[in-house]
Amino acid sequence: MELMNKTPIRDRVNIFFELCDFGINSYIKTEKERFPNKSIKEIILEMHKFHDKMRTLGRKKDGNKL
Amino acid sequence: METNYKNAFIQLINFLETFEKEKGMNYYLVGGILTSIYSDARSTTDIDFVVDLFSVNLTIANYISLLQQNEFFPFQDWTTTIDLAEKTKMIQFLDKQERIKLDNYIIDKDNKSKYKRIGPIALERRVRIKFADIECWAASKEDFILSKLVFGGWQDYSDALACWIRFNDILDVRYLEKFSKELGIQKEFKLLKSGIDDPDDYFKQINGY
Repeated sequence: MELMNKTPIRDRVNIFFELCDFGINSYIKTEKERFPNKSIKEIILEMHKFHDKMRTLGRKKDGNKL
Repeated sequence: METNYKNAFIQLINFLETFEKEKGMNYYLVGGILTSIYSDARSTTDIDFVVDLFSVNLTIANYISLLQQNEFFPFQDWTTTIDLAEKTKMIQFLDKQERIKLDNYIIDKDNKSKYKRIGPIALERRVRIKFADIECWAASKEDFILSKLVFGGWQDYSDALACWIRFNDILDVRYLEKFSKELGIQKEFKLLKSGIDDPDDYFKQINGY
C-alpha cells in the first residue's frame, strides 16, 4: 500500500490499463485455444458474463445490478 | 499489446463530456475503473458509470439512439437493450471495438432502494479527476466506499477496505457515518472502520453466522 501511494497517479493508471488489457487478451487467447470453433465475439460475451458472476459473488439478491 | 481498455475509456469519456457540455447531462465514473486511484488496482473487463438522464428530459430510447450514432454496439440488439433498460434502469453495451462492456447506470430518483439512492447521493459530490491525462467526473472516495458497502459483495468489500486503509487520513468520516446511516449500512461501515481485513470474518459478522 505504501508503494502504491508513492507511485505517481499517471503510472498507476497506466499499470491499470496494462493489467486490464493483459487480463482480457490472455482470457481470449486461453479460451480460443480451448474452443477453436468459438468466435472472438462469443468468447468476449462469455467473458463478460463470467466477470459479472465473479464480481457479484456475495452480493444480496437486488444488488446484482445497480 | 493492443490497448483495448484505454481506447474504450477514451471513446466513452469523449461521448460523455460532449454530451454534458451540449445537453447538460451529468455523469460520473464508479466501480473497478477507480481502483487504481482509490483502492488497490485490480483487473476489470468493464467500465461502470452513472448518468442523470431524466434531469435533462431525455428518454431511454432517445439516449440509446445517441449511443448508436456514436459507434457503441449492443450486446444482442438495440431493441432488447431498450426493453431491458426500461425495466432495470441500466444499459449494458459495448465500445466500438466490441471488446469492453460499458455498464451504464441511470439515476432513478423515484426508486427508494439503497442500490438506487446511492446514485443521486454520489452525483452531489462527484469530483473532477485526471485519468490517463483526460479530465473526467468520478464518484468521490467516500462515495466509492459507500457504494461498495451498499452492494456488499466479496470484491466490493475488498475494494472498500483498500480505499479505507489507503486514504484513512483524508477521508471524511463524518460524511461516511451520516450517509451509511441514511443508506442503512451502518453495520457494514462499523465493521470496515474496525479494520476487519479478512472478508471471511466480515461476511460472518454481516450475515450473523
